[in-house]
This record gives sequence, structure tokens and C-alpha cells, in this order.
Amino acid sequence: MSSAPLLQIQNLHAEVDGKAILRGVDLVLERGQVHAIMGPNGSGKSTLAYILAGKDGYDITDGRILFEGSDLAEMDVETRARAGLFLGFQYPVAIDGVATISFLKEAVNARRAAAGKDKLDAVAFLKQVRAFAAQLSFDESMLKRYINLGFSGGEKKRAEILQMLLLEPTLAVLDETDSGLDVDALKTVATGIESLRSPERAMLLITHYQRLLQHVRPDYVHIMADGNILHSGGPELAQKVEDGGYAEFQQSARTAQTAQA
Amino acid sequence: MSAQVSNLPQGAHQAVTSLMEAAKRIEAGASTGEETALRRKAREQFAALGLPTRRLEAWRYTDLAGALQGPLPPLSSSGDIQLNEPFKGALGSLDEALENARAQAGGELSASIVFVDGRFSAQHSRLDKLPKTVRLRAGYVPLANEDVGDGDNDMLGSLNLSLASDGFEIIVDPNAGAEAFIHLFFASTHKESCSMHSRANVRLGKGANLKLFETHAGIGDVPCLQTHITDVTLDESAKLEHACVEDNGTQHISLARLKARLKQEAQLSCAALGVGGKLVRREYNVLFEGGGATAKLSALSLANAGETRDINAKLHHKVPDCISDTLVKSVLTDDARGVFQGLVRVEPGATQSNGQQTSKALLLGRGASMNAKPELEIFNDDVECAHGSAVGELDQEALFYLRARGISEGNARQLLINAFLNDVFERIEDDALQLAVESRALNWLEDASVRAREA
Amino acid sequence: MSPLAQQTVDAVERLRDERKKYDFFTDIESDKAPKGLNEDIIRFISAKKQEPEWLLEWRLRAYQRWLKMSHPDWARVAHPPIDYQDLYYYAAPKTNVDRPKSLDEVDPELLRTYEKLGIPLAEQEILAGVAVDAVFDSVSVATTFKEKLREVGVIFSSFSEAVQEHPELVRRYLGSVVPYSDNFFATLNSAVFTDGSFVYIPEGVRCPMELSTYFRINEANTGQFERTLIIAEKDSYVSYLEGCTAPQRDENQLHAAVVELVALDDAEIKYSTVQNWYPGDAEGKGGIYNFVTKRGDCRGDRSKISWTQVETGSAITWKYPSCILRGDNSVGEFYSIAIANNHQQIDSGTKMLHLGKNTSSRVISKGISAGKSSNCYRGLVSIHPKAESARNFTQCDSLLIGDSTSAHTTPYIESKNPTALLEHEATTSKVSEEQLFYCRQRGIGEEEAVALIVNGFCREVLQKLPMEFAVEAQQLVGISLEGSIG
Repeated sequence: MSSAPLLQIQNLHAEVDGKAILRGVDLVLERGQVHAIMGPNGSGKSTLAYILAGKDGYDITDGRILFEGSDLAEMDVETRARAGLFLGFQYPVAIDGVATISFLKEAVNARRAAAGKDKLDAVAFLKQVRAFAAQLSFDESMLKRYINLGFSGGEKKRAEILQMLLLEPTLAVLDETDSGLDVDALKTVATGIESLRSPERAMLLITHYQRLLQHVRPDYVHIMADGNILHSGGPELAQKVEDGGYAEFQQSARTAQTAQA
Repeated sequence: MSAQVSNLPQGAHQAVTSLMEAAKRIEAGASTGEETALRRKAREQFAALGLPTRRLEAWRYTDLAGALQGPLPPLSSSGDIQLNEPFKGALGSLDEALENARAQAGGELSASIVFVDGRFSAQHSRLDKLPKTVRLRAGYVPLANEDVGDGDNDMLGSLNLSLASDGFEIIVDPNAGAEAFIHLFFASTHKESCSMHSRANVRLGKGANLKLFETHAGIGDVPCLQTHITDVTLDESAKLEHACVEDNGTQHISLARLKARLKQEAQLSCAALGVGGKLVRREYNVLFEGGGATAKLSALSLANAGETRDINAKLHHKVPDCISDTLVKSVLTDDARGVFQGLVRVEPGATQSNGQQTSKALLLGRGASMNAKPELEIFNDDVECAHGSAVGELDQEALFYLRARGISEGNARQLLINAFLNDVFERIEDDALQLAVESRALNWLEDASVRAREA
Repeated sequence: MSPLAQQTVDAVERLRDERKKYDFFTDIESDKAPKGLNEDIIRFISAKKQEPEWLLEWRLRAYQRWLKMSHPDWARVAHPPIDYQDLYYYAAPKTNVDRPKSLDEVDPELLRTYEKLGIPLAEQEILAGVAVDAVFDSVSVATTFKEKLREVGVIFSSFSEAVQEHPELVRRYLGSVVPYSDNFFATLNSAVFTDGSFVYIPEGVRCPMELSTYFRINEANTGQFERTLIIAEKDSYVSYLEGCTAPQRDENQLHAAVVELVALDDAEIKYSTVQNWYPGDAEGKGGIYNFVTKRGDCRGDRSKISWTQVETGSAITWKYPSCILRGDNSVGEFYSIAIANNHQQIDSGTKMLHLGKNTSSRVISKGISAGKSSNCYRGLVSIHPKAESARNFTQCDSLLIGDSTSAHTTPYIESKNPTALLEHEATTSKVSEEQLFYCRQRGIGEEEAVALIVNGFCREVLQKLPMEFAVEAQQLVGISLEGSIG
């Protein structure tokens, strides 16, 4: 394993359908760390998540992203995923007719093949899925249903976490995983995320609110607005947002800009 | 043409011969050389095409030749119509019928244009309240701007063009017409077999609005062939609401076509109720030429013994972001026949198109039949198109349920049919138009043959 | 390896020695009729097959009829006119000299596909038409199966054989479902068919195994004008598989097959097809023209005919497996997956003709269009006045991949009985960017993701295939769509 940081985002500028969204983001994630990015709607949080995953229509216009020292821009979507980059979607898409369990198996084996491992046999695979499903109070009958089709908001998020646990990513980017969850579900999901925390991997939690961070305590918190990270600090920042909202950060950023000018 | 005619049944042969002779006369009497040329072209086209056979896809389910039973000379333009002739029928006198229709429209009419036996009747029409921004010309509409061209060079198009003697033109100025509500009344009072052919142009300027309420009323059992073509152009953001009630005599054959070109963001909403006549066939031919336009077509086909209702709707998505939505409901008693042929065509560049077609039919009579063909032609992947079709009888369980609650069978049937039709009424945005269509439809439901249990 | 494939290999092993005793081809090896179609050619074919006079007469009547017919133009397919005088209507099977000597001489694209489908080497050679000693002769294989079948009285033979051995059955049923005058291609087939399959299931017998053409015919030569006749006597059952998932080498461009099924009281016929003929190259050059007439007659009360098809091959597919629901309470089913990629053209669907009381039918069609292809569902549901309480449900879905393709739906829904209930639904959708992205984010490659999504779309139909076929068919779905994205 290289000694480079797990993820380095350097002066990242990006646009979506020709519209500039990210304007010079810098961020470094070391293995073992959990970072949270907070920010108001439209600040560019989800764009950052999609840029990391490599979604079409999301283009880097300047700067670069290094994943384990390699340029992410050189890798296509599935290569990133197989290398261990996992995106928990804010709005997971439904795919009619494709049973969740077959999908999971396909994904797990794709990741294993990329790592030079043999395919899991059906029994071992099922055993693993069942264990994680139980951990997440994810009803096993859901596994036979089609991917996200007719799932409630909470079920979709649990399914995302279940996939994360199965795929054992080195970098998990979770986009608003806490939205649409009631208190109990939030705890379950948080426990799931927490169980994956280890010195080998890092996590990037993207969230609008602070409530997930009460259960999964981040090492660092970044405040994002207008396509940039305005402020970084420890977990106490999250509380500050909770108390005072984002306005004060945006205000101070503007003041800083004016001062610079 | 001789070959075409010679294969026809005698009645149809006589009909075609009478129409062709009249076409030649009209052609000879045309006022300009241009008109003569146009009429001749149309006549020759009709001669070449002949009557449509059922081998022709668009006429697969309607046997026009079989429905024509003898000469159908167009009523001549020599003014031999006696407007004061007593008009007696189901609807009462002509004046009563007209009043009735006007009352249905809710009394907020800006104009009422009356045609008697295919001829414009100045005497019965009322044009005085029409806003200045709405320009109306009734009577003979010159054919100079017409062409047999695109999509109209078929039997109906060429026959109508070669014979049309009267019609009207409505032009609404840009951003005008918010209050314009025009009533069109077509009365058939003829005593002998005949045919009548009319054309209309409706053009709405940018952002203009118009409500059109069209009623066709006829009496008796004298054979008649009526053709009527309405040519609609809606400029950017214009909105036309059109509702039509066809309530003709028992031997009346009505072939109507409404073709529409929709520019950007234009809205077309059409509702048609076919309730009286041996054959009521209505064609819609909608062309989306500007992005974001919508067309909502609703048709109600109600038919009793010996009658046919035929709805033919073509929606052509040529540009992106347009919505078409067609709903056809048929209630068929005795041995009535219902037809729906729909086509949604989405061109390669017409991304984000949405085309919906639904046809539902209730068969209430032993010999009743329904034929539906909702077609899709999709040439790009960025579309949302669907069609649904259902044919069946009244839900026996629901009927039983209602009767178990003490509702008579007749009333229960009526309730359920009413429920079946309800969503068509609800699609008519304008209250006056909705009421007009709904009241005539419910009136039909009162009819004993609908209420009765099938034989 | 699928059980079916394993069975094949076992059979080959067993027969390898045995087959040396026979040489099926020697007596006809020198035969070759000249190009062109005329009465003499038909007489020649009939004579070669030592057919009875009535069958020759029947062929000639068909030919006379065909001369007066014109090529149908209503289908949504376009191709240059076919010169029927430029075809061979009778040619002996290829000799070893003409065949590829080994797999090295075979189109590597074809081999790549075989490999993906997991087809064993021995079978690959057969499919590619390689001239090797070990080539299992399908006719010989059939004989072992025949033993088993004979025990229960099932007749499963080539059509020619049936004409010799069971002329009374052939005469009684041939043309009774698809008359010789039925349509241009069926009439042509009636005049010139060279061989095909014949199946007879006696009363009360449940056929002990899936019957498959795969084991029986030397496809390379009888495929062109094939004729199949299946008769299920009262209270019998048979499941019949036609074709296979592997693309087959075939030099005949025109195929015009006819399949007739007859189900008597309480009988059930399940007919499954996987059609993977050569579709032409990515530019639309070459490929098979497949004009097929398939029809089942539910002649008996409570009989059932079920068609399942996976159509992925051919440049042109023109095919409408239909059911005549004549018997009271009879059931017709049509489950279809039709995949068109590149320049392929498909015009396919079904006809459900309800004549008897309480007849019911179910139509599930999944059409997938990719590349520059055209895919049309054309269907008819017709309820006759006497079909009391008939039922039909039709679901017809189109999936589009890419913006240069087209999907069409032309359903005819005709009811003449008020007690009948017909429901028809159709949708059009695409493989969405969102779905692809989601799968790829989970590490699933783009083509696998397309295959996954499309298989999901087709699920309901795939489930109707016999087990042996289902797995291979799923792989086939993915392979057929290769290159459709990006």
C-alpha cells in the first residue's frame, strides 16, 4: 500500500452541465479518518459526491483528485467502485425486475474479481448478507424484491448501508444518508456505519443536519457553501451549525473575501 | 376511377357517381382559375382513390361503402334552403334546438354561427357581441390558401376540397380572445338524400384564447353524408378549447376531421361526444411544431342499434417536450360498433415527449363490438409513452352490490355507466363546455335501451 | 455446463463408436437440384423424399397458389426484393470437404460468443459445422432418445420419416392449422419444405422429456424451409424446445418455416424457441431473413398452448406465433423477448383468436431496441361473438437503448362479445443513465449493467423458459446487446 493519503482533493473546480458548481475545493482524507461535510442546499455537497464517483455530466474543469495516489479522472465509474470507492446515494434509483440479492452478488463478485479473489459461493454469500441484514434490521424478504422498487425512504437507506457493509469499501462517501430516517432507523444505520470504521478506511459523510454526527462522531467537520470549503474544524463545528445555522459561516467568508479584495 | 366504382355495391356506386358529377359542376362554376385548378386536382385525387376499402388501415373497421345507399347530391348553392321550414324532431324546432344548445353553452356566448344543411344562415346567427380582436368570416371561404398537401390527400380531404361550398374562418389576434366563446351550430333539415361539405379555418395568434362549442343536430331518417374539415393553427402559447356534440339523424353519416398545428407552448383541448347518427367518424390530426405544446383529446362514443362511432387520433411529436393525452370511452348497446385507432408518433429529435392513449369500452348489447388499435411509433429513447385499452361489460359484482343496497337495476346500471364516463367530463376544463357535453351524455343514458338489461 | 449440454456430450461419447457403422449421407451426397423454383424442382424434392402422391399434389397446389400471391408489405421491415429464382430449394448436406477443417477456420467472433455462453468444445464444433470425426450426428442421437420415447408411445421423428411411417397422421393434420394458402411464406414453405420435425403424443401421455430440435436435425440443411407438426392427443403434455442459444453457422439467407400445433381435449403443448441466427454485422450487412408462420390450434376443450420465444438473431424477424382458441375453456399464452441491436429489424407478436367459451389468453411481450434497429410488436386479440366470458390480458413493454433506435407497438383489439373482458397495457421506457450509474458505482461494468437491467425487464418471460434454457437465455440477452451502449 502506498504511503499517499487515501484521498487528496486539490483545488477542485467542477461544473454540472456547463454550470460551475465547485470552485477550488481542497481536502485530504487519511486512512482511519471520518470527515463530515456540512452545508446548506445548493452548496455543492452532492456534486462533490458525484464527482468522486464519476457521474456523467459532472466535469472537473481544474484541479485534481488523487485516490491512493492515482488520478481519479483516469478511472471510469466501475473501476473506482472496484478499487473501493463507495457512494451511498441520496436518492437510490429503482431497477424493476432485478432482485436485490442478485444485484448484491453481482456487485460483490465484481469487487472480489478486481481484488484477484475468487467468487463467493452462494452459501457463503448468503450467510454474509443475512448477517448484515440482521444487523441492520433489514427484513430478509426485501432481498428478493427488486432493487429499491417500492422501498420506503428508510428501507432504501438501509439497503445502501447493507451494500456498503458487503462491499467493504476503503472510502465510503455517504450522501445525506440520514435524510428520511426516523430516530430508530437513524441509530441502526449509524451503528452500521460505525461498524465499518477501521484504520484502513476513511469515510466522508455529507449531510445537511448534524443529527447523524451525534451517532457517528467525525474526526473533522468541513463547512461547505457556494462550492467551496469555508471552514474546517473538529466535531464541535457541527454543534455550532446546529445552534447558529450556516449564515454566520457564509457571512464570515464574505467578509474574508472582501478583506482580501 | 371506373374500376373503383364498378366494384362497389350499387348504393355506394350511386353515391360516388352523384358526388363526382357535383364536383365537376362546382369546378366549372368556380370563381377563379386558381380555385378551378385546386378543385380539379382534388376531384381527380378522389377519383383515383375512390371510397376507402377496409383494406386501408385507417378504415379497417368502418365500412363506408356499405353505409352509403344511394345518390347523395350536395345541396346546391342556389339558395333553395327554406330557413323557415318547420324543423321538427327530437330537439323540437330549429329555433328551439338552437336555443337549447345556446342555453347549454351557458349564455356567455360571444357569437353563434349557424349552418343549415351545410349553408351559413345569417338569419339564425348572432355575431354582434363578438370582440373586435376576434375576426370572423362565415359563409363561403375561399380556397386559395388550401392545398391537397401533407396528410390530407386522402379520400376525405380530396372529397371535401372538391365539394366544399361553405364554412367559416376565425382569426384571433395575439393575446386576445380571453372571453371569446363561439358557438357553431350545424342543423340538418333536408327532406331528401343529400350531402353537405364544409371547411373551417381557426387561427389563434400568439397567446390568444378561444372556446369553441360545436353542435350538430339533425332530424328524421333521410340519408345524408356530411364532411367537415377544421384546420387549426395555434401560435405560441395560444389556447383552444373545443367541444363538439354530434347529435344527428338516424341515417346521417358524419365524417369530420380536425387538424391542428401547435407552435411552442400552445395548448389544444378537444372533447367530442358522438351520440346521434348512423356513422360518426371523427379524426384528429395533431402536429407538434413547437416545444412544450400539449394536446388533450377526449372522446365519448355513445351508440345504439345500427350505429357506428369511429375515433381516429394521430399525434405527431416532431419537436421535444410536448405532451399528448388521448382518452376515448365508448358505451355500445344492441349491435352498435365502436372504433378507436390511435397513433402516437415520436420523431428522432422529439426528446422528452410524453404520449398517453387510453381506450375503454363498455359493451352493453349482445351484438355490440369494439375495435381498438392504439399504436406507438417511437424513434428515440427519451420518451414516456404508454397506452392502455380495456373492453368489457359492466362490473357484475358492483351491480350486485348496488342492488343489494336497494338500488333498482336500471338505476344501478346508470350509476355505473355514469361513473365509467365521469373522467371524460372531468377532463373538460371549461365549466360551460363540460356541462353541455355531460348533460347530453346523461340524457342519452336515460334512454331505455341503455338502462335495460341486455337481451 | 447445463444439464442439457452435459446430456449432449454424454450422448456423443456413447455414440461415437456406434456411428461408424452408418453413413447417412452417402446416398444423397451427389444430389443437387439447380437453382430456381418451378414444378420440376418440387417434383424432384417430393421424389427424393419418396413422398406419396397426395403430398406432391398438395405441394403443387401450394405452388400454384404461391404464384398468384404477392410479398406482404404490411410489416415494418425493409429489405431488397428477394429473387426466388436465385435460391437453391434442394441441396444435399455439405460434404466434409466444404466444411471448416477445425475451429481455427471459424469466425473468431462466433467462437467468442460460444465461449461466453459456456458451450463445450465438442458442441462448438457441431454448431460451427466443423468436419471432424467426432461430430455427433444428430440423427443418431435421436435414436437413443427414441428408445425412451417409444416406450411411452411418443413419436418424435423427422418430418420425412413421419411421412413414410405415419402417413395417415401427417395427412390428417398437415395444413389443418396453417393451410397451404395461408400466407406468402407459409405457402412457399408448403411447396418446397424439405424437412422438419414431427411429434405425436398419444392420449393420456405426459412426454417424459423435453423434446428438442437441437438433438435431431442437421440444422445446416433443413433449416431453410422447415416444417414442424406437433399433435397432442387428449390429456397429453409435451414441452418442445426449438433452436439453441448459440448462433449457428448458416449460409441460407432466407428462412421460411412453418410450425403447426394441435392440442386436443385437456392437452397441453409448451413450445419454446430461442432464435439466434446470424443477425448480420454491425453495419447491417448480411444476416438471415426469418419469415416464420407458427400457429397452434387449441382444438379440444380445456386444451392449452403456450408459446415462449427469445428472439435475438436474424437480420429480419417476421413472426407471429398464434393461438386459435377453439375449444371451450382453452388457454393460449405468448411470452416473448425480442431483442434488436445494430441494424436488425423485428416485426413480431401474436394473434389470439377466441372462438370458444371461457377461453383465456395472456400475452407478455418485452421488446428491446438498441443501435439502429427497429423493433415492432404487432398483435391481435380477437373475440368472436360466441366466445362467452373470454378473457385476455396483454402487457407489451418496450425498452429503448440509445437515441437512434425505434420501437413500435401495433396492437389490434377486437371484441364482439359483451361478456368478454380484455385488458391491454403498453409502456415505453429506456435504460436510464441513473440506473447505469448506480450499477457501475457498485462495481458492475457497463455491459454487465445493461445485461442486468435488461434481464430484469425481461424477467417475467425468462421465468417461463424451461430451466435448461433459462440460464443460457439470460447470458444471451447480455451478449445480444453488446456494443449497444457508449
